[in-house]
Amino acid sequence: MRINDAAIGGLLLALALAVFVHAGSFPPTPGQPYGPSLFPRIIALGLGGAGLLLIVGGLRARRDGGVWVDLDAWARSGRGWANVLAVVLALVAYILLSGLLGFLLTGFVVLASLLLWLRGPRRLPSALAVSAAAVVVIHLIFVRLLAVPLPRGALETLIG
Amino acid sequence: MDAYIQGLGLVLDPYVLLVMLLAGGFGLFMGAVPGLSATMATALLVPVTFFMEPVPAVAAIVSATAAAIFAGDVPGVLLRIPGTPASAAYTDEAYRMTQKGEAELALGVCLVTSVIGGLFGAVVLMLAAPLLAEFALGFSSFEYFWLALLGLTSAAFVASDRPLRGLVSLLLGLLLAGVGMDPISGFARFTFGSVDLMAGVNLIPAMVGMFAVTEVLRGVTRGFEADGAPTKGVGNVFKGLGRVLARYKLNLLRGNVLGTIIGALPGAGADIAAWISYALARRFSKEPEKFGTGHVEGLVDAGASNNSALAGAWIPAMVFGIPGDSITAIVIGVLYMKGMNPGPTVFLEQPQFVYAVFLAFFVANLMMLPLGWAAIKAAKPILAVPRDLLMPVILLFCVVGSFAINNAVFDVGVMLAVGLVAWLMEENGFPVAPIILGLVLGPLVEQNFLTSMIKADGELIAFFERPVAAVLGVLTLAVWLYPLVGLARRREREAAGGRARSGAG
Repeated sequence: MRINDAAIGGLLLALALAVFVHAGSFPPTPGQPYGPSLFPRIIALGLGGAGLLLIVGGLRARRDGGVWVDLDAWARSGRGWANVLAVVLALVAYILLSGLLGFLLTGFVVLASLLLWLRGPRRLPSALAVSAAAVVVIHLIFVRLLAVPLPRGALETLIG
Repeated sequence: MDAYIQGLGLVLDPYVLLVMLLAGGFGLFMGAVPGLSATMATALLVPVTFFMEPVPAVAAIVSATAAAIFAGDVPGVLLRIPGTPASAAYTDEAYRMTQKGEAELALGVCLVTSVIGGLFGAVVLMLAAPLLAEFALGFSSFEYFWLALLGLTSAAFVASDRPLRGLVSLLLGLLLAGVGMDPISGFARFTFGSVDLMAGVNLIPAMVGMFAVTEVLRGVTRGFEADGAPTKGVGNVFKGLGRVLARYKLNLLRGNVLGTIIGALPGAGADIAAWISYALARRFSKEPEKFGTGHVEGLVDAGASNNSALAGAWIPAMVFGIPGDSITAIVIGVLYMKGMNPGPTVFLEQPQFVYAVFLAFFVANLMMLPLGWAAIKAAKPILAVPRDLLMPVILLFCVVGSFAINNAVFDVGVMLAVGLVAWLMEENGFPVAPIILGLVLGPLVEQNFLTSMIKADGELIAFFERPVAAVLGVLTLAVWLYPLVGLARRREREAAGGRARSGAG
């Protein structure tokens, strides 16, 4: 899914301007000519310049018959975007729920759901089996062996 | 000499060798799982070493870190997901080789150059530790500034096929590195009130997002089998290796030397060494156009460089008690605990322990050859799993790995956010690797620039006053101006040719 360079350049230019202006609010280091605003402003200048170049290139491509958005095969169907959304939702669900429900339950549900969505409902047994195995292995390695405090929930307190 | 023999006896003890073998296996695992790193492997080994004698304790750490730095290459080659930041510099190149069907060559090169790099570093450690330590400690903020700037410039070489996009990625990486507390005044920049962001964007979740999450997103949109990745096992990794190494022996030497020196600089470790080596390999290659298409030359340089940097980092650590990288920062603590107080006196009072450490480096790197080979072979059943089943599982590992660094779910969010943006960028032809370079080197450049300015009272000429700084500065400027000189010469030649043609006609 390629967006025209001019649009990307415009985005970068906007970002650069925002950074430059925001950096003006940084307090200077007392007694020094350069403070925390220096490097962000230099970076903003660079990004702005690059953005302008991209805009020029993009507009030129448009003039030569380019499009604003060039969609690949996957981007035209709904399925590709739905899959992206599925991955994002899975990760967001983990982030929000793991503290509440503990790693074992959240990890299992999130992974199984994602596998189910990607591979189809006929692969339910393998999705469940693989998710259970993965979650158990991770628990053994990270919690038991490496002593990483993964979030604890009902299942964890059950097994002790 | 006597101390050497004693040291040898200490290392070639069956218990020590067994510990090194187990630690090597542990290191392979830590290096291969994205999100877990060699530094974390060291940190996790420390409580285990409480109950050990000094020699096996240190030998275990040496063995684990050497294995971890190599093991990071394996998922990079096979799945385009680097296991540790040190492998991120050449992951794309290595994966292109895999797509061309040269996965065995890539893995074999990574393994053997890692071993050779580690051995070279061990030799330098043994022979030249005090000398190199003196040189490394002569580096002040001025020299570090130029070195970091030179490193940033290497980003331009790494993405030279689409320089404007590479520059944008680099600048975005630098911007990302600016999030958090400013290195000099401590002012919290771009945190927008979030406490988690005050420490900045952690490198490892960002890296995992950039490589693993993007791989998963690419797979779910374009189909997992679409890019020619290997689905059966890996064949003979040693085939054709001799020819490659003989052809690129100069690269190997350069990677070793560069890696050891950069490792010896306090604060610069294996990942920076790998980046600079890869960039220099591309810059000085006789076939630079092949880089990016799956060319093995860069892997020779960088694969050797990151392992020799490991050994180099021990030079200032042992001689002065100043860590050469994050791993040796932890190791120094272990040394103190075991009564091997690092510093010049340790060479006088307990030379046999020091030599045992050096010899442990040798043994660990030699051990890495069979261990690494076994790890590569063990990847075979993993590759046979259908990708759409494997990648979500790896994603979960990455989630847990990202969490494990700070025990914070926030880092998982960082992984997701960075991954999404990086995926969109890559879809539009923006390379992702310069972002990491910006993240790693940005703070170094800024901190050393501002520190130098404070020291020099605002006089910019101070950046050229010290001899090494002047040399590095001139080198950096020359590297920047060289392409312009080349352009000017070419224009002149074309103009002269045009004049000659019109004159004759």
